Amino acid sequence: MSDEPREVLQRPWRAIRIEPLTARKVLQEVEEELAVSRTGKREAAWAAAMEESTRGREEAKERNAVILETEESVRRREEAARQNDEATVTAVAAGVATTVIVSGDVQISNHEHYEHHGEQAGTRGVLQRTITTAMQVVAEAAYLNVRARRRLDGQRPGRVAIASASAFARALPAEHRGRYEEEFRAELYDLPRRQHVGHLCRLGSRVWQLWWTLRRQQRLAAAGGDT
Amino acid sequence: MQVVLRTLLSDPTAEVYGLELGQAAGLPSGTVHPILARLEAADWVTSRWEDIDARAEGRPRRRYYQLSEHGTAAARQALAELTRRAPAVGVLRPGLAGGSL
Repeated sequence: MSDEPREVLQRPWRAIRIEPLTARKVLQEVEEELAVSRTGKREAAWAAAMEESTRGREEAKERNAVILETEESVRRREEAARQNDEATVTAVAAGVATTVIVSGDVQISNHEHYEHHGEQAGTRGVLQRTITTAMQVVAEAAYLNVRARRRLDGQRPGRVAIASASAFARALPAEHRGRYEEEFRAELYDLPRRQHVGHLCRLGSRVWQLWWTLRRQQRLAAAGGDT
Repeated sequence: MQVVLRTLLSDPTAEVYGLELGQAAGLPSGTVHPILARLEAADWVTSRWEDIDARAEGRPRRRYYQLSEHGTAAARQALAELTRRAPAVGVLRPGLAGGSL
């Protein structure tokens, strides 16, 4: 589990090409945010942050806002994805990407300033919140995409299964091959992989019935046309 | 055939794809396609391709089947007729009806 988000978190990073040194810092922060968010130990993290400095309370509030904002963005994106609302998904993604790029540029140009003037934590906190939120949304979105893709990959039929379904369809009369090939292949996507072999064996053992039915219909149609 | 018709009649307006129908009817894979082909040829059932972008979805389109208006009436009538005839079959061939020979 710990490896997965890390791999995912690097994806938006490479995609937006932020200066590596700054990125590592941001990435580290995002990872911490995600870890806090997932383990449900926000209160403990906030308390620890409060102890760290006199500004801990403010930072804790900012972190809380970041997490809430992130969760809302991810929730909105998930909801839009569920409803196939591509426009909203794209809008959220575009907004997030813009935020990352803009805030990333600002972060790069002001990096040294922050290093040497760390006491200006107010400004730093706001900027970091923007970056962290954006990075976290991108990371979460990428994580969700990877999870969705893995779910899909789990059901995606293998080449042998697809070839078998196509072969069965090719045994049918020529004018019906295309239709049944797509239909047989679509069925594989609706079954878990472990059921593919059994499904194909049963399908293959009965495809002659379909062939016979289709041929009979052709003959009847031809006889009807002749008369 | 009867099982397929009964399953389709459980919700005549519903669109189902072959695998879904087979699972609902408790029939093994490959059994429903010949039946659906016959029903479609008789205009009892209509079919259409699922309206999706196969490339975007990452899977082929499903073929959805639905009872036609004529098919719904005809299927109901046919099943009623079969039910009416069933006792007669029992008298002539008790073994088929579950009785002793």
